[in-house]
Amino acid sequence: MSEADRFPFGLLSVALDGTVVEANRQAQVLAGGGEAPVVGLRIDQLLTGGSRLLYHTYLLPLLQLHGQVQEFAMSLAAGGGRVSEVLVFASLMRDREPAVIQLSLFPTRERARIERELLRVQRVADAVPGMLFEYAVDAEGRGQFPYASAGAFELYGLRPEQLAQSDEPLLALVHPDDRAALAQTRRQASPRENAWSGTYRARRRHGGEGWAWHAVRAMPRVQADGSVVWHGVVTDITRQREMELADEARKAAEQASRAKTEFLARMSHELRTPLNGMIGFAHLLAGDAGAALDDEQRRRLGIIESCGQRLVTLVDEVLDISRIEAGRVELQAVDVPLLPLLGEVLQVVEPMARVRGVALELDTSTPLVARADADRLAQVMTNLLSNAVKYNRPQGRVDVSVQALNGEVRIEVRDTGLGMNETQLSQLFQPFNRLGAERTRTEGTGLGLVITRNLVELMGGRLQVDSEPGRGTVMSVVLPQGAPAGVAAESDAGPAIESGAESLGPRHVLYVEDNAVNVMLLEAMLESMPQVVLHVAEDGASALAAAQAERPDLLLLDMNLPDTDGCTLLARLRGIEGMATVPAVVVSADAMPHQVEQARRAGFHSYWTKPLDVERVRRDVQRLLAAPGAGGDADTTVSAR
Amino acid sequence: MSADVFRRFNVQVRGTGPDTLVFAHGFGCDQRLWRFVAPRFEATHRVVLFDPVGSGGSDLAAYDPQRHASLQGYADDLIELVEALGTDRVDYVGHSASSVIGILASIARPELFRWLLLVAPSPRFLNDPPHYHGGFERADLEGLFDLMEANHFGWANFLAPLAMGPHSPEGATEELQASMCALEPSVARQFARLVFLVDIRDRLSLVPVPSLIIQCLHDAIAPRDVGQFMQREMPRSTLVELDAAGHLPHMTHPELTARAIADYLRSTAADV
Repeated sequence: MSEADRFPFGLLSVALDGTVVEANRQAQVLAGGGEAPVVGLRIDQLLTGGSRLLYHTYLLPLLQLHGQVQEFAMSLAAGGGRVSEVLVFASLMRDREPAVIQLSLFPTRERARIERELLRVQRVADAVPGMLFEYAVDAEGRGQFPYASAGAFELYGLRPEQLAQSDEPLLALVHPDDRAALAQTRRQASPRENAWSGTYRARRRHGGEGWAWHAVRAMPRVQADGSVVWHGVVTDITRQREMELADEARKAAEQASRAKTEFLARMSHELRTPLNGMIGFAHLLAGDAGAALDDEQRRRLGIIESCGQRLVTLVDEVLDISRIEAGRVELQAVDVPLLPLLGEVLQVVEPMARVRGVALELDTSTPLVARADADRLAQVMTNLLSNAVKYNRPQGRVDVSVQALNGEVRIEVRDTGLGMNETQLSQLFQPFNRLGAERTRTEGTGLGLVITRNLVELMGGRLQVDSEPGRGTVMSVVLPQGAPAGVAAESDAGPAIESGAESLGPRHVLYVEDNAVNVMLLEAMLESMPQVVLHVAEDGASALAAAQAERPDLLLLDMNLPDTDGCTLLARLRGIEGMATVPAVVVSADAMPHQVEQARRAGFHSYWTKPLDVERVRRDVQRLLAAPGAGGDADTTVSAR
Repeated sequence: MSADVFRRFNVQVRGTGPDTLVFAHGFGCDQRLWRFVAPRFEATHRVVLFDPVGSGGSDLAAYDPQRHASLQGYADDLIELVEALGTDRVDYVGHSASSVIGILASIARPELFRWLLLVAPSPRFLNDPPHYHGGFERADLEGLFDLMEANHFGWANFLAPLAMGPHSPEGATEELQASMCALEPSVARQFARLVFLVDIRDRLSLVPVPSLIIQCLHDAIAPRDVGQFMQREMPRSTLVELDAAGHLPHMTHPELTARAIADYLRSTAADV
């Protein structure tokens, strides 16, 4: 055994032409797997493909230039498919004759494993979106980054080497106003070995407006010499920050929008109460056969009432628009048979059509059911039909028909009006834009169609406009089809229960209301019903007392009372002996869907919205008084309209 | 303009003569690889040496991940350099990877090159059976990339200070890194992929200028078949096979290599 065979590492001598001329035992094991002798083979035969490339393109040039290369990682094809990872120390021995390359081979199984671990960690660190770092700050406050991941280049355009000696290149990129605070947060964290976290502005790497926002987070290790070594990460939070700012702006806008909606709801409430008095008394006065009024005076009363109604409509529309804008429209999709609904709407529009000499026709040949919110659909159709009448020519026609198509239903309103040109069509859905009608005598606000289209879309449908100047306009509402057997959304007109209330003797109605005008109005409305005895209470306490004294047959409750609210009061009144099923009606200035729903669940049978409709009030009172037990079916009768 | 280009590619100009010879080294290391060959031409030629971006003394800031995402980007660098030399046409000597770069540049700008002299070139290192034997399988190349990473990150960058000992002067560590042939690791990694995964076989027939292929008979990187393949594909090419082993004839057999270059320059000039 030669001396070299005792070495714990491999030793290979390779001639310049690549022939292996010497190999010790260890080299034979590493490179040949201990079988065929490696001496006489070409070095290329002992190397893996990758090592062969590296040997010729990298190691040999280095050897030629410098004579020796240290600690070079290579892999040997050890035979039988095995690979030996080795660390090579190579020398070019020019003084030998002939010259040889001497390779010392150290197996690096463990080292290769650690190296792979390092490499893995390094790859992860360099792939992290941000800069991982070790930051050493000496007792005098001088800092340097012994380690910085490739993120340093992404964030700052700096190579880790540029930061190894000093943190200055990085600090130079931090916003001048933020440097002191950043150092301050670091100094505060270190003595207690707390995490250091801070945010600061840094110059944008690729130019552009403003500054990037970076966040640092690191943990300290205080060294014996007073220096502190930090390990942590810097991340770019610019996007996150921009999103936070956008979020704040959005919240502020939402807040403003909510405030606007609430303001409008309050305004509408406040406007409705006096309108209630105005319209109600004008109506009563005009209908009072005993009043000594001449025709001109009756006509003027009619103007007062219709002006009031227009104001109510305007208030409703503004409220609708603001609800739609705020996304606060509550809809209840049910199966709605269309012909009955259209029939009712036609009745509403009929007087207006008659005045203008416009013929209204509903094609009743196709009974279809739509999936929609019944009240909102009625609102939509009322708007479309009244437009078709209002903007028609004298002696014109409005035809309404219903068709089924591909799982949808289409309600068509065809008029014989002026039609619209391209420009008018393009502005059709702009709020308050009346397309020139503001210069005519036709009344309107320019809000109706905007609301209509929004409502149709909220119900999952679409509004289609087809118009031609001189020929007229076809407005179509397309809605999902409903189930034919579906429960009809019952209208609260209940002519079925009309049996003679008169025959039952005096009936007691308790009205709880703190507004004197409202009380006067209701008194006037019920004057024509002699069997009704109206009792009035101003607040909850006196209402309970009145009910104890004389058990009422019907309750009319304002929702906002000085000492309680309508729902609570109803529960307490129903607790009185014999009053568990007494019918009850809400009398309120506002009717947000959730309020109506709340009232329904509290057990109210009907919901009257101010300004009160005289006919409806009388009809409901008659119905509810006629059937004391019939109040049980509250679900179908409570409705805001 | 030319000063900027010279600084960017660490251009060295030596010697004088009517013709300009540009030497470009291959993958790894720097222009010093030509030190046994280039000086022999200084008496008769203007000799130009340079370091492509990412190697040797080139300006790293000139590395543009988009431009240098293909070898064409390096060819564009070469074109810029030749233009900056302010000469009529150059004779271009490229080793290995740089022979590919020279081929691409000459196809793009034929008027800038008189002759191409390609030392140990390969248009494709990967085998493409059954007709093409490049010498390597894909797994070999992946092995190379892994080893490169291990060497660059593992030792040259990371453990070099340890190898020198923690108390060695700063300069010595830098010296060691410089002697590792100063390849910027991230650039070198990308460059290695471009160089070793290249396939310009279909471009060879487009080379517009006369060329010399210097092939070593025992080259473990570019097998003999490769030189013959190139000679068949390139229209006005001459193949010289050196009785030499290895991939670096300009280092291991400088005299043979220099003579092959000189002979070609002389005889081709006589033909013209």
